[in-house]
Parts: sequence; C-alpha cells; structure tokens
Amino acid sequence: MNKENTNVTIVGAGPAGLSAAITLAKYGVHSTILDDNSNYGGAIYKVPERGMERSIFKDEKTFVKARELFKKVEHYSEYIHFKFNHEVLGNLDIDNKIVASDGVTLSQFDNKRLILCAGCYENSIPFEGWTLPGIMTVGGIQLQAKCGNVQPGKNVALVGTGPLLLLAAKQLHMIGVNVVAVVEAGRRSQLVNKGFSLLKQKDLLLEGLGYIKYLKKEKIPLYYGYGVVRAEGENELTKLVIAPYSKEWEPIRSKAITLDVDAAGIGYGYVPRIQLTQMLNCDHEYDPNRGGFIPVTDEWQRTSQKGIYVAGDMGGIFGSQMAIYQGEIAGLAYLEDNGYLSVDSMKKEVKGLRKKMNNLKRFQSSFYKFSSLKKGLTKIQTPETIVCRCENVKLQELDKSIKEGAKDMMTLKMTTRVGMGDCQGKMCGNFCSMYMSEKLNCSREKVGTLRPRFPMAAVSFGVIVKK
Amino acid sequence: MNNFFNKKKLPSSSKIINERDLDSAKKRPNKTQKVSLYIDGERVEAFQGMSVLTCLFAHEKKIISKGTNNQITGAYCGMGICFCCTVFVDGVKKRACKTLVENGAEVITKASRNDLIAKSNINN
Amino acid sequence: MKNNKFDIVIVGGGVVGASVAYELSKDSSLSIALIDIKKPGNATQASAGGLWAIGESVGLGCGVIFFKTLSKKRQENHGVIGEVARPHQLPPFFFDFCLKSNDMFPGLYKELIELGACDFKLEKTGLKFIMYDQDDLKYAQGIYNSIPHLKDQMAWLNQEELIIDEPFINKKAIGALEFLKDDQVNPYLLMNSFRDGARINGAEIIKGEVTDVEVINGKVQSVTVNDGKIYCNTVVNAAGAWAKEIGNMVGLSLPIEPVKGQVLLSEKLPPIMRSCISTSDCYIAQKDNGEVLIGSTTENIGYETSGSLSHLRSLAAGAVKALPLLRNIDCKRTWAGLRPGTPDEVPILGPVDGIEGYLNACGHFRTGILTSAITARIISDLVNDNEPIIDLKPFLLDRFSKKVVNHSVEKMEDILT
Repeated sequence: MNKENTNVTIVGAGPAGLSAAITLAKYGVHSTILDDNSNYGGAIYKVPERGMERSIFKDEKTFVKARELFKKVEHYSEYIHFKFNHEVLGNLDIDNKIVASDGVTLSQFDNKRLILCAGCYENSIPFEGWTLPGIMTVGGIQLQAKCGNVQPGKNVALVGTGPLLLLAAKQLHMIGVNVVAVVEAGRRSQLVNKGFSLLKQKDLLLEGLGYIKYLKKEKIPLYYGYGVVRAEGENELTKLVIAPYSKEWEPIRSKAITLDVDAAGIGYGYVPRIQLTQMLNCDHEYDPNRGGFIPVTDEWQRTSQKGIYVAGDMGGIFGSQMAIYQGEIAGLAYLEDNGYLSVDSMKKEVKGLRKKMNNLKRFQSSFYKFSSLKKGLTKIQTPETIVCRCENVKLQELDKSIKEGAKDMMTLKMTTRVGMGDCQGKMCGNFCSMYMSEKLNCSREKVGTLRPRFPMAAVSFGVIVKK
Repeated sequence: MNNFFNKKKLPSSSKIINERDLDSAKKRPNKTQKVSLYIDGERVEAFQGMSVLTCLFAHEKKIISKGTNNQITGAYCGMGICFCCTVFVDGVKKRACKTLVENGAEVITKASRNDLIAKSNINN
Repeated sequence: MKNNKFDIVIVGGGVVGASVAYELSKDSSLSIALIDIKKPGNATQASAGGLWAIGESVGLGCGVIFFKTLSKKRQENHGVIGEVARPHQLPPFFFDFCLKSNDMFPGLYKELIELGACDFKLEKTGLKFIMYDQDDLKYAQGIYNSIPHLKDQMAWLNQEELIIDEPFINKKAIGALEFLKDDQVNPYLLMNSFRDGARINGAEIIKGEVTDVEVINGKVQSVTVNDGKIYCNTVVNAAGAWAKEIGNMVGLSLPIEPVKGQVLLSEKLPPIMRSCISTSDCYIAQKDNGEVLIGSTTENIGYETSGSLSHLRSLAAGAVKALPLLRNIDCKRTWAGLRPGTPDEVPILGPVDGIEGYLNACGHFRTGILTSAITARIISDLVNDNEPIIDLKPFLLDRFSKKVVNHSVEKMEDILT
C-alpha cells in the first residue's frame, strides 16, 4: 500500500485523535498526528513531565485510562506517525493545505483528508482583578500539580463549575497544597434531583463521589451555589472574594466572603477549539450545552466539508470518554468513505458503541441544569474590569462600542481591539459574545464569532521565511 | 474484551503487527537527568522534560511576563493558548508552558520587546 | 431603521463611503444613510494606511512589488534574465488628485478630533524607497527626474544617512529616496473616525446588504436593504471591490475587479522605524500601536481572500531583508483585502449620463485611504451643484467608452510573459 496515498492528517494527540488513529491503524491505514505538545495525551491525558510511573497520581483513574489508550497506540506505532511540537497555524485554502510550525520552519498537510481533534480550552469569565498573577484556569492550575508536580501556590481556591474543580482540589491537596475552598456555582439541590438518572453511568458517578468523599475526609470546604466576585492584591493575588450566587448566578455581594489565597483556579465551563473548522469553512451551529459554537456533524462525525471529520471536545464538550468513542467513529467513517469498509460492517462495528455513547450523553445532560452558565456571569464585572487580557480592553470600552452601534463580534473587534492580541480572542471571545448578546438582547448566532486568522498562534517571521 | 486488539479485520495487504514493549518504543528524554539553566541570570536546576513554566513555579516565580501593553501577567491557561506566560529563552519569545528546559538556556522573565530591543546589539 | 426615506444613501461603509458620509453630513439639512455590510476582503481593513501621494503615483508600494514578481515569473518561465520590470507612473492629473487629498488630512484630523470623533493617528513619517543595488538606484533616479516640479518633496539619503535615520535597516542597503510628505494614518481608525463624525452629525449607519437599486424613468428611486426599501434622491456607489454589483443594479457595467492583496502584521514593537518603507519586495509601515504591517501582493483571482504560503513567504522574506531584526519577531496575523481595481488604476467618480441621482465613488484601487478625503469633497461638490475642486473628466465612467488606456493587471501580465 502506498503510504503517501493513505495518509490521513489528524490534528491533536488527545484521546479523540489517538482513538481515531488506532481505528485507522486496525485497517492498515497510516495517519500523521500533529500536536503542539512534546508527547501525546492532550490536556486530559497529559503525561507528567517526569514520566507517568514516577508520578504520585499514577494509580488515578485518568492515568489508568490513559495508559490503556497509550498501550494501543504503541501497539500500532508502525501506522501512527507523530509530529510533536507541531502547532497548527491554520488553513490556507488556496493552497489546499493546513500549515503547522515546529518552531523552525513551516510544513504543509493536505486539507482534504483531516480528522480534527483540537479539543477545547477553558471558558474565562472576567472579573475585577482576574489578571493578577496567581489566578489561572482550573485546568492550568491542575496541570501544574498533575504534570509538573509543583505547587502553584501555598493556599489555593478553586472556583467555577464542573467536576474538574473536585479533581483539581484532590490533586493539589495530594501534592501538599492547602486547598482553602472549592466553590461550585451550581446548586446542590439541582444535583441531587438528578440522582436517579445518574445511576446509568455508575463509574463516572462514583468517580465524582470519590472526589467529594476525599474533600470531606480532608476537611476541604466545598461551597455550592457560590461564585467569584473579585480578586485583590498588589502585584500578586492575595485575596479572593466569593459570594452566594442567585438562581441566575448573580452574586449577592452583601454576603461576600473573603478568602486568603495566593493562587486560584477559576473555570466556568469549556469552549470548543473551533478556529480550524472555521478556517476550513465548515458549517457551525450554536449549542449552549456543548460549549457554544460547534461544527455541524452527522452521526458519523463528518463535517459539512467533504473529507473533514471532527471528534472530541472540539465538536462539542462531552469529555474524554466520549472523545475516545467519537474518535473511533470518525476513523470508521473515514474508512467507509474511502472504501476500506462497507457501510454494513461500519454499522456493525459501532452498535455497542452507540449504546455507550447514548448513556454517556444522558448522564451528561443531567448536569446541564446544574452547570450551564447563567446570565449573572455577565454582571460580576465593573466598567473598569479588563476583558481582553492581551490588549487590555476594559468592559466600558465594550459598552461604548455597543452603544455606538456595534452589533456583531467583528465590529466589536475593529472598534475595541478585543481579540487582536496574541491569543486571537480565545480568552475573551466567548465572554464578549455572551455579553453582547445579553446587552443587545439577541441570539448568540446573531452576534457571531471572531474570524480566526492565519497564523492562529504567533510565529516568527524567521520561521515563515525558512524553507 | 478489548476489541482494539481484534486483528481479524485487517486487510490482507497489511502486515501482521507484533505487540511491542511499551517502554522500549519510547524515544523521549530521560526524565531523571538534571539540567541547569539561568532564570534572570540566576542558575537553577531542573529535570529534563520539565517545562520552563514548571521550573518557574518550582522557584516560586509567579510574575512571569510583561504583556505587549507592559502589563504584568502571570501564567493563566497553562496550556499554550493565552500567551500570558511568554518569556524570552535565549532571546527568542516563547510560551513558558510550551517550552521545555534545556541545559544552559537563559530565561528572561518580565521582559517586554521594548527592553530587549533597546538592549539588543543591532546586527545584520 | 427609524426612517425609510433619506436624501442620500451611500452604499459601502469602507473608508470612502464613510468619508463621503462625513463630508455630506456637514450640511445638516441633508438626511444621510450609510449602508454597510461586513464582507471578507474589506480593503480598508487590509490597507497599510499610507498617505503615499507621490509614492503611489509613481508606482511604489504594491506596484513595484508586483512588477518584480512578474519579472521573476518571466525569468522562471522563459529563462530570460532581463532588467527587472518597473511599474509605470500614473498621469499628472492623478498626482494632483493625490497631492490635493494628502493636503486635506491635517485639517480633517483637527476637525474630526474637535467634533469628538476617534483619533485616526495621523503620523508624519515620510516614505523611503530603500535601494539595495544599482538597478534600484537607476529606478529611483528615473522617478526623481520624472517629477522635477516635486523635487522639494523628495530627498536622497546615502548609506550612512540612511543608517542614522533607520538604525535597524539592512546594512547592505546603499541608500534611499525619501518622499518627505508621504505620511500615514491608521486605516480602520480613519474609517471609524469618519463614521463617528457622520454619526455625530446625524447620519444613520445601517447594517445590511443592498440587493437592489430602483431606477424609474432614468431617476434613482430607492435602494433595497434587508428586504426593505429605502427611498432616496441620490445614491452614492462606494462599494469598493463590490461596486460592480451595485453598478449592475442600475444597468451599468463598471470595469471594477477585486485585486487581492495579502498582508502580514507583527506583534507590537517599540519604534523600530522612523518612516514607512518601500522596497521592491514589500512595503513596511509601523503603525501607531507599534505593530508592523507588511504588504502586499497583487492577485487577480476574484473574491478569494485565503492566504497562500508562497506569497506570505516572499513578503516576509522581503521584510526580513529590509529589517533583519524582524527574523525573531512574531507575526501575529495575516489576512487579505480586495482592492477595487480599474483598468487604468484611476478611480471612477461622479455622475453617469442617463441615470439621475446616481454617483460613482469607487474604483480606488490602491489609494482609497489617501484619496478618500478628496473623493468626499468631490461628491459633496456634485451634490451641492458646485464646481468640483478638480477637473472630473479623467475620472468619469465614460472615459472607458472613448479611449481605453489599459494597464490592467491581466494586460500587464500578457505584455511581460
């Protein structure tokens, strides 16, 4: 078989990408996986910097699952070609190529045979003082503990919503950090009501309960129905103010509590990393329960563009287990579309998988009410709050632009410079569109998204020039 | 149980794959080996495979970067997306969280382009 | 929409349309609507913002880059190593048009700031043509000698003087010809400033796509926007690269084609250049916020706005050659704009025989930012029945039906290949 002709490019070496590659390899199809990390695993299965076996977390559930997946990858290593430290910079449609940088030069990959598994990043909600050193995303702070094995602070609070708060708290505590508080915006009453439907996914439920048990045992305070108000500190974080959240997650400031912390992880959900599907002109839709704008796919993970498949959180937030399932489905769809597999055998292959996926979906949907972001999050800011970290744009500048007639994200960008910095709006874009749609009382679709530009991550002119 | 290892569906043209030992297949840095590097002129030790950001945290450095508008920033997303942890490694702007430590590397924190260009030897 | 009747409807909210809206809005008796839609390829937002009155007229900036690319292509295709082809200069009336417009900016700046519009960052920079070899020198001498009446606006810099003036320039450059009054603005802030001015003066800005212009008995009646009719006495076509479509709606065939230009933008830097720079590989302008903009290609491939690596590489290489320190500087974004190109590279302005109430303000090709000011003045003169401040004849649409001086991109490619 001609290797060149069968080469599929997979973007992202997390659970979805690995699973897709394994599926292809089972049928003798080679794939090239691009990832900007120096190892596979993505964010969730990221291997500790000093090796997995040396980590104190090596028996944690995530690592057990990761090891299982990595073993399969190694098994098929002949078919799976990794290009680590390759950051995808975008699609150049006229060249029919996606372009990646390895920090020295640019390389190009066919944009007609792609399985995209770029994952997600955490949704940032700006608040007064959130740019102080010491404040990170929950995932960012957890990675330091889990993979770096360093303490990001002595006294840490974890604030936001979702199960990662609990996991991060446990892991930080395990490496000796004093976890001051875990602050969950969702209300316990909404969680308990759903208890019955959760039973379908015993594993995940027990995993979550295990974290809660750990926190209880270690006497780490867990607040439900509370959220962030502001952060204080001279040059670094010293105090974090939290308060009870109303039903709509509006802080009740009169009941605020001040926590003495030198680091905090804040995370209000996740945003699918859709910049590449946007650049590839795939159709997108808005689904608040899956993180916002996501590429439209059929049930076989095919996007609206022929030959381009999406799997994992990039196509809507469902977590790592779903990513593995979707990766397999995307792989099978590729195999079927390219004649390696008949429709019938493809359908046979996924029968059991579909059932597992449906159960998982049902399990997750029972959290929507508990964890979905509420309007109040656009009301914790003051006019002086910095919204865009890169360009130092304040909330009042957004207000001014909206008052002067900006009705969409592109106009907001041109008038205020939000999204014109290094991150190209990945940190503030979701909040800005949320805020704008609140202010204008219109749909998120109408407000739209920022248009990603090549290169999606800054790259030196020297790298561009070097052939 | 594990259907991934079910090889019977392999097309005839593909080779039979031998199961390989997990560890021997890895061609990754030896993670016990120590390296030394300089953070703002100060010599520090780190393990190979460690990110510059981890190394900075290990030395309790939280103020890491000076943004393009000269605002002070610390690491934020920790996974290469926000660019809040940019430092200069041997004169080249890099994200600390995405850059691995190297023996002898000179890391400069809290520097902006202004400082560096002013200092740089203008050389063709 | 509060209103569905206006005296004047301007189609196209780029820098030209916004400038026209602002100028007309000074007369408070006129009701004005500016209709804008965001489309990929908006040329204002991909512009360098150079007010290069002489530079553009003699073909520097994109022109000289394009011709070097063509010569290279010719060499590759035919193996002929000849002299590098250089762009033609535009006719004297165009110089006059550009220079007059350039002179308006200091006044406009003051006026708009006083009105409360945003600061469009007018900067006195000058434009330097950087010379690397004798070929470049010969070309620069040709320019210098062809415009003796503008000698006081040009200056020669030898190698030493150039390095003192531009310490980051390639030390191998042999000198430069500087155009002292060719300055710069921030292009989208200019557009925003004009819009602010127009809004403050009471003009209405409407977001939407124009799908029809109704003409009855040779007179413009209305414009259809977002499925609703807006009645008006006058419609101004300032639709940039899409002006042809608007022309079609009133039965005109405007010879305007999109001409794609790709640009690259650096991260923010402290001042590394005193002037804007044009070499025969690229132009470079450091903007008010410290970002360095590098442009630009000239491509005749329709409304496509995707980047292409070969073009981006050659522009980046040109910039790294001119300013070697850029090698380690980050490129933050690239994108492309669609210039509204005309066959003779001269805008199409003013009325058209047989269609009352229709005015062209389009086809500005590479000089829309620079000539937005004078275009607005001309349209305002026409609306108010005043004698336009320049002779409009060479800018009227009917020049094409008479004698065609065709310098179009395609034609040039034919001649050279």
